Amino acid sequence: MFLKSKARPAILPLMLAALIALAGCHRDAQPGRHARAPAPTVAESTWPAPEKQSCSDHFVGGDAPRFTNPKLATDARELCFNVFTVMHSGITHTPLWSAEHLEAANIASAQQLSRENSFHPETRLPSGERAELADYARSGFDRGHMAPNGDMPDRDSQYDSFSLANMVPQDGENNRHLWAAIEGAVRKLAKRDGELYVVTGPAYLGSDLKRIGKVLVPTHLYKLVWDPRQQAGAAWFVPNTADAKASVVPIPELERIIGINLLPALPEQDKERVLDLPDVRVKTER
Amino acid sequence: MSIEKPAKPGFAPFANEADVLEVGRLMVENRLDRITVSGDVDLTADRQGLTAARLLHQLLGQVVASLEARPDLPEHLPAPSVETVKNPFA
Repeated sequence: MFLKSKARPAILPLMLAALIALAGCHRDAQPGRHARAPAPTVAESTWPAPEKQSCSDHFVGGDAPRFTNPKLATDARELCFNVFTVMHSGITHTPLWSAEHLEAANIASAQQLSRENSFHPETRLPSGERAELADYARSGFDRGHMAPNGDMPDRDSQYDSFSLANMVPQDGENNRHLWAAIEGAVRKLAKRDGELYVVTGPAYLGSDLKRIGKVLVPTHLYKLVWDPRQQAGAAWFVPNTADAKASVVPIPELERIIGINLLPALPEQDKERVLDLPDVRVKTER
Repeated sequence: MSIEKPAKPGFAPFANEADVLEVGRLMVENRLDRITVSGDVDLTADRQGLTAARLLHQLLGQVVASLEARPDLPEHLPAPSVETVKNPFA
């Protein structure tokens, strides 16, 4: 949709390609080139943002989240997709965050009646770091999307969203009901306010964790939204359980809990402006 | 809305962990130990509804046939194996 637009003059794609090459982040590049050192780079946000192509477009102010818990940075690699970017952990074999810039115009409304897709391992990651389909097999857990399939504007991006680099082991009830409702609420908000920045990920809290295959099961999930029009944001924070209820938390609180500065471009006082998120509930009896 | 692929030859139930079929907002996921059906769809009384209904009917027929063909089908699946490990980030 944004990429390879045939309507564009021929020179523009060349310019964009050059900018992307300079920024060192393109979805077809080799894995090593995606790896962002744990210490964040400064220069990236100074590039003029090409229209919807660079990874930095997925972040508020062009700045990717930064780890404040240094243990999270071990074997962490940034992977850029067309419309979202994930930070993948070779320790958990899951993403630690997945960032999107949702625009109302790109949220597909009418889609074809039926379509096929496929969950797939992320071959851009080294084999020792990535999750395989077998890790999730017979585990009893859903493969829970972080950047949701329902946000994806085109077929390529839908396929991208089914990468295991965008998945965490998620309780099935949680995924299909409460979490699906949160995803729907975010799309509705993006349509209302025109655009949203969204960062979604797992939290690994407490002294012990569950593991399936080699994949660590998150104890909680979060979804942060930043609304540029309202200059406010907040996050849902949800235990990874069947009977979970969603808490709405201010951004600074979420960042402290998970050990990641999710919106490093924003000063603390901006992050404290709490967006009034809709109360998402699911019927307890179905 | 257009209907590009009314037939679904690729989805072999229980054969892999990869296949996904979406019909409306209904999502059908292939797993080795289950087929997960989630979401919702209107099977409307029109051509599109018939196409969707046939698709699901065919798929569920395959699921039933596959399970009926198993002589050793257990009453319930065994509990999944989940390990407990120390949190590396704590």
